[in-house]
Amino acid sequence: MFIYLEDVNFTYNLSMPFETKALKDISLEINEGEFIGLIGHTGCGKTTLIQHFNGLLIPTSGKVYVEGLDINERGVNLRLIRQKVGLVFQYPENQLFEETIFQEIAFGPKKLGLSEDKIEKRVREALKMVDLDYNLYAERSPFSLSGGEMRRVALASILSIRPKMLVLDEPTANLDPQGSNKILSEIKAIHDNFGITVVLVSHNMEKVAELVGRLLVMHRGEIILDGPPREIFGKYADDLIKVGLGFPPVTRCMHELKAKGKEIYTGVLTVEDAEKEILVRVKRFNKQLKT
Amino acid sequence: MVSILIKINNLCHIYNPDKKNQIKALDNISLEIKRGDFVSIIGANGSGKSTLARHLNCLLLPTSGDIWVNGMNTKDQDKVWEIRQEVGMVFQNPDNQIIATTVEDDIAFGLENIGVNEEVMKERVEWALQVVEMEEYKKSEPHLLSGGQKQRVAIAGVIAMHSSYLVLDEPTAMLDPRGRKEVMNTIKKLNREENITIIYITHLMEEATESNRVVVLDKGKIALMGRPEKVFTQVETLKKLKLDVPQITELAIRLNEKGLDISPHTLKVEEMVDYLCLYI
Repeated sequence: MFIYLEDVNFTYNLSMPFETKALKDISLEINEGEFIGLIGHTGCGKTTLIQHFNGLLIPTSGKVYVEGLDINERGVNLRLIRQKVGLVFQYPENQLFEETIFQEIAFGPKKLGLSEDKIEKRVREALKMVDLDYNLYAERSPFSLSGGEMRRVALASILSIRPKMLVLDEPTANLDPQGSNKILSEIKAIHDNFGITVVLVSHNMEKVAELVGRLLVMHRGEIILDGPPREIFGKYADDLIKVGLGFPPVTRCMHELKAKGKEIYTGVLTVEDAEKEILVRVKRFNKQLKT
Repeated sequence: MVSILIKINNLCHIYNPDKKNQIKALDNISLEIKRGDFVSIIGANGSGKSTLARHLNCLLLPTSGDIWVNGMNTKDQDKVWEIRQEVGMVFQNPDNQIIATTVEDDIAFGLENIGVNEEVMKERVEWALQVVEMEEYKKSEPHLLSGGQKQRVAIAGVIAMHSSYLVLDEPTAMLDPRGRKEVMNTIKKLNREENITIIYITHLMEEATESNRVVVLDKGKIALMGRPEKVFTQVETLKKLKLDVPQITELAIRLNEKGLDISPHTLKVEEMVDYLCLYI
């Protein structure tokens, strides 16, 4: 178990007129190597939840353990926890500040007190992970890049501290389809090749559904669904609609066919799956016609 | 005769002209947008979408070429305010656009600036609130609203000016699925019921399928243009331009190739369902 949350509650502005309960009795286990998608309506508590994963927020009540360390305990080394859990905020390009991309990515390792050689190694490694050529990019200013590239540099600057877990808050917001596919495929490669645990917060149902192995759905501060995406999109359509979440268009298509009394599997997430499912049904229908 | 349309003629725009970092953002664009049209503009990041939008109400002026809004040239200094009243603009982040402390004050802001009398102002604010379905939030403080609601307030502020053109630059980029739907429904309603011309910039192909016409920009040039069902069937070209094909269209094309009698121009879930009901 990498992260363990036990009955976590979080209230903003506690005992003030604007008191808001953002998390309610959340218990959650995240295992090493998982690839998790976190979805939910704006204001449902997604960002509040992920800020508990590395101690940026401390629960109002309940416990959070990161690799067995209780983040609430006195004297716990929060720096160490933040090294283990890298958080990539929304619009991370806004936090770029250095003169060159090398310096930007070296910032974290430098703060860790690593030697020059090791720092360079880390920068090379991190740039490679986000598929940017060291020789072409290292000496450029991060501000001369396109939006998608800036975001990948910001991601690299977190990867360079070698976190065991990566939490990304809407990494594709405002990128064009190619830019967002690129960053998502890099995140997937980082997960697959380096065994880094990933939590991906996103509004993009289509893409999330395709990528992750486990989906968490939040609503009003609670986790209401937790399971493989196929199961969630296939079986809990009504719940998703109730909490204001959409489906990938092909999934919606399957649900509407089912609503019309057609026999069809609704846990379809990609165009390929939909094509297969439809062709099977069409064949069966033709057979019935013949007999 | 004054023609009621936006006419763009050989528009070029160069940022930082004659400098080392000179960039040609728009390259010889010609386009006509007629009253009542719903045009969506798509293209990769940096293809010139926002630059084009900013020309429509004189936020940027052409390096060469001309734009006429209802017969007024955007280069004509005396017409700037008139053009800006005709062509309203809504940006990505509603927080950058909302300034007042209550929803109704915010919507009235533009009207106050042009000296509309109080009675008319009240009427227009009421009307705008009704159109975007935010009447019950009239007295609310904008910062307590959801993203979708804020964006609708921003839209109300623009339509209260009785603009005939509404330019929206990725208005749903920061919203969740429900907020997106709210904003999209509002825009469709404005177009159909109030006959407001919509120019809609988006990265989401599913949204672009709602419009009458799609303009695809690539490196400052118009790469494709036409009805959505025509544009979105050109899978190879779209992929080359770094764009996605809507899921439903991709599915229709694949099924069509497998011999099903489904039109490869299918765009919407409902159409797909109707077709499939015949086969399953």
